[in-house]
Amino acid sequence: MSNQDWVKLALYVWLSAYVIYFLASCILICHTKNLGRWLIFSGTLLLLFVNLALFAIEHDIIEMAYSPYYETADWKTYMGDQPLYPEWQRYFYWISSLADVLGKILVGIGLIIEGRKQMKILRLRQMEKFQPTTHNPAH
Amino acid sequence: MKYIEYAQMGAGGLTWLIFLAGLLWCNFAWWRTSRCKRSLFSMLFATITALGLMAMIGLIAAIETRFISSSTLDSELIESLSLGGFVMMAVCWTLSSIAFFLAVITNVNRAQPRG
Repeated sequence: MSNQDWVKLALYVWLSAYVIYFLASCILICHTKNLGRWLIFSGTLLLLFVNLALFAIEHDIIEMAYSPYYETADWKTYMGDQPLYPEWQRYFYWISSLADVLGKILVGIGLIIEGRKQMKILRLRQMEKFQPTTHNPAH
Repeated sequence: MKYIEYAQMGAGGLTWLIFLAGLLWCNFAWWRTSRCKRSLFSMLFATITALGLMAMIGLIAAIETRFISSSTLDSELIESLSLGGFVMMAVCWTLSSIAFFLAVITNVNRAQPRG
């Protein structure tokens, strides 16, 4: 496999991780709805959209960057005065990186809330173990 | 490097930290609350994520500080190193997501937070 194929394969693998995270968050939100899980769901959805768009752009860039014309004198005859990346792409990267940051913060905070809820359940279970309840006929 | 690049790297690193802290904390909590400790996926997940994070930090540090290119290594080796780092990051990231998915489906019916 050539270097170009390896990079493309890594991009596909990278994107599949976001798809799997989104599927996991769908299972969480379908089971129980609370603030933490809504944050996880919205964050993974945002991350999936952002990384789908980034994947499309990066796929094109890899095609260009590994073409035999790039970094040679032939690039000018091949593309003329047109730069490698269009001007709008700079703003696209800024917006997508901000959206990526927002998505990761949403998921991170959601997971912290989820973990706190789980630990609360653990404490409740431990309390129940040592406290007789009125529902128990043995007490 | 320009200040804006430092700001970008700092913000990116901070959000990764929040994200990974959330993932590790949540998986630790799931591992603690699962009654029978069958779901070792959570701990597997934590290990893989840590490995991926280390690869990421190493790759970013090596490329951003131009440490590799300033040494006597030839360009082909630099390219294969950065390519290998990128592939390793992608694989670790995907394995951790699979472990997270498995941790979710093995824990979702045990502990049910409400409200």
